[in-house]
Amino acid sequence: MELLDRYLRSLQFWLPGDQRHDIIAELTEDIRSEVEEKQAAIGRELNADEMRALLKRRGSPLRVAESYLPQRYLIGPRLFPIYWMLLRSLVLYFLFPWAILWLCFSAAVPFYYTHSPALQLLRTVAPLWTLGVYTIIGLTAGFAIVERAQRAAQDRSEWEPGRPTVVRDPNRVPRSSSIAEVVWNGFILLWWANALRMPASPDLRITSSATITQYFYWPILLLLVAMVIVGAANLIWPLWTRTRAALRLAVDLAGLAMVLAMAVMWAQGGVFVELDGAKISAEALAKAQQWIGVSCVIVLLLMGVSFAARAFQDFRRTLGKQPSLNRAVKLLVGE
Amino acid sequence: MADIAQLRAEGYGYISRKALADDGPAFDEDTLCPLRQRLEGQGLLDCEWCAEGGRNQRFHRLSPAGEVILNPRLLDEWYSIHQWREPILQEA
Repeated sequence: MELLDRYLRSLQFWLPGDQRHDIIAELTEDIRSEVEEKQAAIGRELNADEMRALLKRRGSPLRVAESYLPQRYLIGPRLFPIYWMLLRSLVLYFLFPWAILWLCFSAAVPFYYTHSPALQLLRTVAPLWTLGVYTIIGLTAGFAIVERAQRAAQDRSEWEPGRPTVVRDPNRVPRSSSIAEVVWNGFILLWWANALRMPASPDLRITSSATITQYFYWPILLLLVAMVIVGAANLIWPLWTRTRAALRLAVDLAGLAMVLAMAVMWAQGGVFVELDGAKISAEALAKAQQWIGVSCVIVLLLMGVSFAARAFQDFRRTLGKQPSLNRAVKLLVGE
Repeated sequence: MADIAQLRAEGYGYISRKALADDGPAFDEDTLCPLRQRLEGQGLLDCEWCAEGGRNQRFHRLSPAGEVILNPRLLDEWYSIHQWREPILQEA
């Protein structure tokens, strides 16, 4: 019976403290009764293999103990989808772009691997990484607190059976998102066309680099105009048609191509902006330029992911299919 | 449900499980004991250690609160489900 004693001792460890003694006593008697009955049937004592088989059929100590433990969870099934969506957004919008950036820095930027060792990059990324980890911990702790509070107020729900549930048509464009698209892209368009001046420091002059002006000025201008037109059309006719989806698919693909072209330019050592400041040292200017470059790449990365997601949705609409209802895709598209 | 009904008369783990298995499908070893533990925690079962065949066994029996839950609540529910299901199954 040494095997049985070991099994019970191991099981005892996992059981809830206040019931441990009773459960073990009951299980001991239960197993012993079974053993005795088997022994009576075969007319001899069970050997070690037979005993092992009997215990194996009952399951591992942890599995058996599990059936005695109450169900416990930090975030319940009601809040979990929202928590999961936020967590995925955090990874998608924050950790993932930074991981890509880190890889780009390490592998493709001549400035980086010739002038600064990997340690400097790690120093740059470390605070953001820490922020990401703390955000995940904070998010989890926040949801766990809300879960507990909700459980306490479980039966005091304010839901009214008479209140209608809003069911959204996935092919309807919310007016708010069309207005935001027109205003935002219009604002960028005016700035890009130099019709809108941004407040600037007299000591530091920031201009587009020669490469950007030469190769990207007109494509970006046309892309912005097309985006404003699509946004305005969606504002007037808020239901997607296959033609309009096809038109925006073309715009999305053009945007994606442009983002890729700019990323290639940057990876080959190109710069997005040129800085000029008589009172600022060359070293400070180089550092500022490096940071502006990094910021531009992050923006490009986000834009690329967003263009790809929009192209995916518009491709489905162009084929006459329903757009994807995946939350991450909808978030990226802004639907 | 079958186990609760069986516990209108006093019984203990292994014998109860065997009795149920003799009359119908077999129960897993780790189904009955945790179930009884929970019912006991909810006050639906009374339990007592008694000597049986030269060793201590934990005997369970439905408590007065458990009796009320079984009859009429659980049994009524069971019969109404049965009555509702029977014609559907016969049609199939």
